[in-house]
Amino acid sequence: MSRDIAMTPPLHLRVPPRLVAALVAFISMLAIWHVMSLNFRPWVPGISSTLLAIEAQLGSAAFWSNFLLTLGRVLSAFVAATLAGSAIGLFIGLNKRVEVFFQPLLALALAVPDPVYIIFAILALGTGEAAGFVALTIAVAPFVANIVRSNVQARDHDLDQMAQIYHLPRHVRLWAVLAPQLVPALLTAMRFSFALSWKLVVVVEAIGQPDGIGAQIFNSFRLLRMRDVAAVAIIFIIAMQLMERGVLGRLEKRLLHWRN
Amino acid sequence: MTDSVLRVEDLGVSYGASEAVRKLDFDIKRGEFVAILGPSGCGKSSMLNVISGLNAPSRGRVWVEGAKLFTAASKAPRLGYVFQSHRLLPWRTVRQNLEIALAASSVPKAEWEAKIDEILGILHIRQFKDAWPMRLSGGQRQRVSIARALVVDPSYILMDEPLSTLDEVTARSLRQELTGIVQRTGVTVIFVTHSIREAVFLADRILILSRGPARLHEDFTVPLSRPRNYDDPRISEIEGQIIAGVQAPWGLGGQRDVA
Repeated sequence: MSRDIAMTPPLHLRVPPRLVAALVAFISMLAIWHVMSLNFRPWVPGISSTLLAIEAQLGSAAFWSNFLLTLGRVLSAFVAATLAGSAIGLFIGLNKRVEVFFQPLLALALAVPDPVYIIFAILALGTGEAAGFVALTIAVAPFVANIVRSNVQARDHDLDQMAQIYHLPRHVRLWAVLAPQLVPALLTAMRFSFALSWKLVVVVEAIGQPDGIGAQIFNSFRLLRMRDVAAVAIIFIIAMQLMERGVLGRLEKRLLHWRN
Repeated sequence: MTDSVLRVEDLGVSYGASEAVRKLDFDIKRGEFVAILGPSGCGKSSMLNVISGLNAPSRGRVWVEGAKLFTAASKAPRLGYVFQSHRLLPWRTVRQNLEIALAASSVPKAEWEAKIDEILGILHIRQFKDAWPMRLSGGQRQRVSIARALVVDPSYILMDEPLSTLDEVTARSLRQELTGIVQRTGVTVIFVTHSIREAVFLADRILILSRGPARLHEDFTVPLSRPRNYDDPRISEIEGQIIAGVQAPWGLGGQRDVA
């Protein structure tokens, strides 16, 4: 019996350190939230009342309708911004002359605060779906373009020379030599684009849309129902994180499997 | 059909006022193993860029298998290239790296599989056909790089200091194998190196270039039969003769330690 005990490693050694760190962080966050809810009542809702509000929201048809609407907007903005930004980044990164032309424009686009795009889009296009879509695409695409451009320029030029010497056709150079080098950058750009897209969609909905998660949060705020604000925000944040880690994380593993 | 695989006539390469190669003439016959030896920065890379078809020369003419390069109608030469570093695509397996090179060659697709097996067999790396380059050692990667050069049925193979980044034990074994591979395949090789001993061990002829701008200082025929032994005292003797001969053209001022 004593031998069995001696051969079994102590429990704390079997828990991955990352999990311990995550647990400590999560518990610390709950503790801070609890302290704040005691000191800033009613503006910071308590943990238990927020959990009840989350349960209520998850059972509400109105919430799911808003959720799906926002999800559609997030995905369309994400796809448009990623495609446009990647194409622009590739174009600028591969051509010095084009870069000379686009570089100041890109710097300017990166410097403009996102709400400016949103306000101008609403003023120009009204409060319909198009305004949000255009504003988000214009706000996010420059960041994607910048990430892709810098990685295109930092590619391995020795491989370009190899491709030239072996007379690889242009499409093979692009698909088999250049594209795989850009995968890590594209994945970073996609993560960034997704993270920025869902946050901006919520802002756009809060400012100028009658429906969607952003509008629901803003309406709850106007009615001073802070529990609902926290509940809707928490559900939406968790859903977006799961999507990012689930879809983009799997895509990353699949595309970069050769590294392992 | 001409016996000359590569002919260079009055070759000159300049970058503005700076001259890298001056009036270079040489002829390489089918099946020859020719080493090119020159001091660092003498213009070897500029010359390689021309004979690999990458850059047009400032003056002179280059013929590959009787066809003149750098004319409006000329095609780029069909060559294999072994770089100093392997330059394999890490996201493609060994087989896929060879297939990429084959895709741009004249080898029919139906023959790829057999061709890849044959070449990997010659280089003793058939068991790594489906391995990722990252899983291979430096020597194995360089073998794959040599396989990629051979698989495209090249007019000639350019090797630009391919063993210089390997440890001495691996380089020694690969040097020994390289002579066997060249004899078995009959391929023409142009081998650039800094090592006089390596050049003497591997080559039939050594083109010794002068300090930049590169000019042909000597076209040296290696007076040794094959197979050769890297530790053969006659190799040391020839190495010593070459070192003595390049003191002035390489501007060494009496130093003997050039290899």
